[in-house]
Amino acid sequence: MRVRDENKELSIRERAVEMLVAEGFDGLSMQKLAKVAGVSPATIYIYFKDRDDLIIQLWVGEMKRMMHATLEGFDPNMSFEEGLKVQWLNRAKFYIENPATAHFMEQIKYSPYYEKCRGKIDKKFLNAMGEFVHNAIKRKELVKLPLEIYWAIAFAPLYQLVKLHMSGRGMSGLEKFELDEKTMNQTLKLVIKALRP
Amino acid sequence: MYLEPVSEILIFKTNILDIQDIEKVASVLDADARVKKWNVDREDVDHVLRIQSDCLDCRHIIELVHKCGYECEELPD
Repeated sequence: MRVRDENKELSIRERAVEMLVAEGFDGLSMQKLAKVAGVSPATIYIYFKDRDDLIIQLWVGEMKRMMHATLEGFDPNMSFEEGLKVQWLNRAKFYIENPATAHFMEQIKYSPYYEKCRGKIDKKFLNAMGEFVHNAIKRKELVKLPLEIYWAIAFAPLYQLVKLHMSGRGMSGLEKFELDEKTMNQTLKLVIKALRP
Repeated sequence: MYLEPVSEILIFKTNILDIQDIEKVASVLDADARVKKWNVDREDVDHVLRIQSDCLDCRHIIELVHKCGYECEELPD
């Protein structure tokens, strides 16, 4: 009987994400992955059905980590300002500490895999986000908007700053840019202001 | 994570290449109630055949695949 070994699976997952980021979808093969993860190809197939299944399960796993990190210390009943701040800090921290994950999630978003992946998002996460927004609207802390507009205002500014931070360069491309708490709070204030009814 | 209650998973290197090959093998594997699930990774150089079964061992599978006219050998851990 083959026994599942969580350390082995974790190592396979980590190496696979690195490989996808470095070499793209075509650069990932089970044989190459086996070599860098120090396991046999057969071992990879114990955990994953085939290459497509591996890529989709990687996304599910990374997404789970991201959602877990985002929800840390977060409560859907928090005031809008406080709840958004917790999320901003959590999301920024996660992406900055996990650059390979951030890159991989972007790759998936613009690939045919995304259709297969998106249905697997944990409903608990979506529900928590929805509840938070609805509470804030009810308390008149947040203006009612189509979801896309809400998301674009509430989170896109943060993600843009995170991207600049990860590139290490500001808009001119010459000066250094670092996303510190002061910059984040300054931006967050404007976002909250924009979203107030 | 891919966590179904794991029955034995058996992994083989084959020369099952295209859809027609897969259909031929399918006629035998689908008919065998002892095979719970199976798939072929056509993108892999070894054309890996993956079998989930509670009671079959590698020799059975190799025999079944050989009968269809294809090569099949166990991929070691």
